[in-house]
Amino acid sequence: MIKHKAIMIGAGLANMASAVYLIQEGHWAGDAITFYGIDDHGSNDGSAASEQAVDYWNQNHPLENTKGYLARGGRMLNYRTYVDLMDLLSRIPSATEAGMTAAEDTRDFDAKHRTFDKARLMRRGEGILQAGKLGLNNQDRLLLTKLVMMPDKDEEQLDNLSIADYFKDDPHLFTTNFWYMWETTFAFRIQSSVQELRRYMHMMLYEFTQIEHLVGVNRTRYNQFESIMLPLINYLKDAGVHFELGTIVTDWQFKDSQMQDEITVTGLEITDANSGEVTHLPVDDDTAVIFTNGSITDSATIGDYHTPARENMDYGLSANLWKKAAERFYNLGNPDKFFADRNASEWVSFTLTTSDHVLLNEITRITTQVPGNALNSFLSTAPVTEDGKPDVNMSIVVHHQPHFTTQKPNEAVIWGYFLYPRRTGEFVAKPYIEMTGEEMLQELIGQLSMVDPGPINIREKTDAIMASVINCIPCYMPYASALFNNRAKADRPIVIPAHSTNLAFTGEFVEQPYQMVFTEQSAVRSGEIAAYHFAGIPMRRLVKTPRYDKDIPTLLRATKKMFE
Amino acid sequence: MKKAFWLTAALSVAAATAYALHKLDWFHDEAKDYTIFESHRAA
Repeated sequence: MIKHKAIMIGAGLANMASAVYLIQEGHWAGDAITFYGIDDHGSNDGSAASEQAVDYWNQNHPLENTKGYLARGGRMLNYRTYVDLMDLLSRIPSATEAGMTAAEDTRDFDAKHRTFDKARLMRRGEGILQAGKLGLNNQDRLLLTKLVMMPDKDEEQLDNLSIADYFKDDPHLFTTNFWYMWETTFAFRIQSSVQELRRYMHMMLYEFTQIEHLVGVNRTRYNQFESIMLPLINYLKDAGVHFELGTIVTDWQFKDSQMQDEITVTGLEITDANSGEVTHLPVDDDTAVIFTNGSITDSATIGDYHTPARENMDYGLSANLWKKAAERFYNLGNPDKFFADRNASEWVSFTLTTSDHVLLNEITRITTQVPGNALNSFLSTAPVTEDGKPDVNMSIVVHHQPHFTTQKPNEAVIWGYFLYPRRTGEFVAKPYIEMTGEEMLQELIGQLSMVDPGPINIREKTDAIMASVINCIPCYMPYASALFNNRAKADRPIVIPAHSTNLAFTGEFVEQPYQMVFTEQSAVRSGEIAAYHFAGIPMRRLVKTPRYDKDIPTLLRATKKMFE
Repeated sequence: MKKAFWLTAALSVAAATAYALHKLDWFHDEAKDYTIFESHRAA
């Protein structure tokens, strides 16, 4: 099934990675590759808010206040396990640092700004917690050990089991520091798939041993768009790759076959996102179709300082196309598992831009650490879960400044998120999803005030902080954790489905050996597999995946950690 | 007699370890995980 041309449906990280491998390893001409997508960043966004105000998802929810910066999410890297991402970044020049590859750029920045989180968990009245004490009991240890020791071949035993199901006889786990850190570092909810939790326990086992300081977290110099996506876009454009942005692939034409199981794309229906004009694109025998079948930022909406983000009930765009393929072929998974359960997948995030460093310095004082070093989570003292337990209310990431290349020296950008957006705030009496940017900031100041060691409480600087705000943009993402939704292994298509002659699936909603989703790593690897398949490159040349779950010293360290 | 005991004990431990590692799929050849894609290509 070797091909010489490719149509990329979706212009996100996975497909851009695929294009790089097709060009560099498959020796394809760049102009043999064409991208179709609504934008060129997918979930890896980050820019001045004014640029995103005109994005596809914001057309029906325009920003009134377009000042400041916006990143719907943020990425933490981990060199130990993100081996395919680092391989990819080593192949392309940095967009901001002359003479460096994108990998050298990130390694250079990270080496000079190592992560060492000193305030991972904080709680009202107690301040910074000793989060290194995981608080596990024997039942927790036993169930976690069973999960880690389960071999890959038995993974299907965890089909359709949520984390809550797996630990149903052990509710204690959800009140431990381990859980508070694990859920907020990786964005797991109790409704999430325990199959995915098992993969994380395997791949992140090394980080489990040092999770309270996040020392294994590596960061890019700037935001995810400028440090990861922009180098890819620049490289691909220089190589002659075509980008047809502002387009949506809305339907398929497949070849009819005797057994009705041969998957051969013969044409695509393409809709212009602005004009609504529909065109038909024929797909010939020499063309591969590489499809990113889901995006965690589809249907995301934004608000501003005085406006909450309105809820957009649209089904995911790319998932909609996936659904059309899955309705025809039985082995392409079940998109509803991921895109029809918002209660399990939704988040609200916010991006705060200030005109001075008053709030930044206050957070530095309270958390005792410099910007760029942390993920800080605020624990409730009151019961907030459905079964009456305390949990994390909100988490913030204070980036190293500047986080955007165009950011002025006096400005600061802070990002935060609410993993359970329907819960009610502790300082603003309404659900997080209904809050304006201003109310989210008030909630943050309230949380900080309760862990402030003094002597002058941050509340006394509220006026100065509020006066410094350029904007605070709330963002509702109905599918932010969709990739973790409870599922069976067969609910995701494998990268190259059986009987496919020219269609591959990439991104975070595909099944591939061992990989954990919600990482830049798994997205890149899926694209790499698709490229190797269609370019006829042996799979043994894929980047080697480390297995910390089979590394004796790591297992011993993890065992010891479980008893702390 | 003593020698035979220790030899049996050592062999038993080795066998138990080998069995446990086998059950845990410890020596799984990861390259084989990707043969499914090779076979789809060949088809």
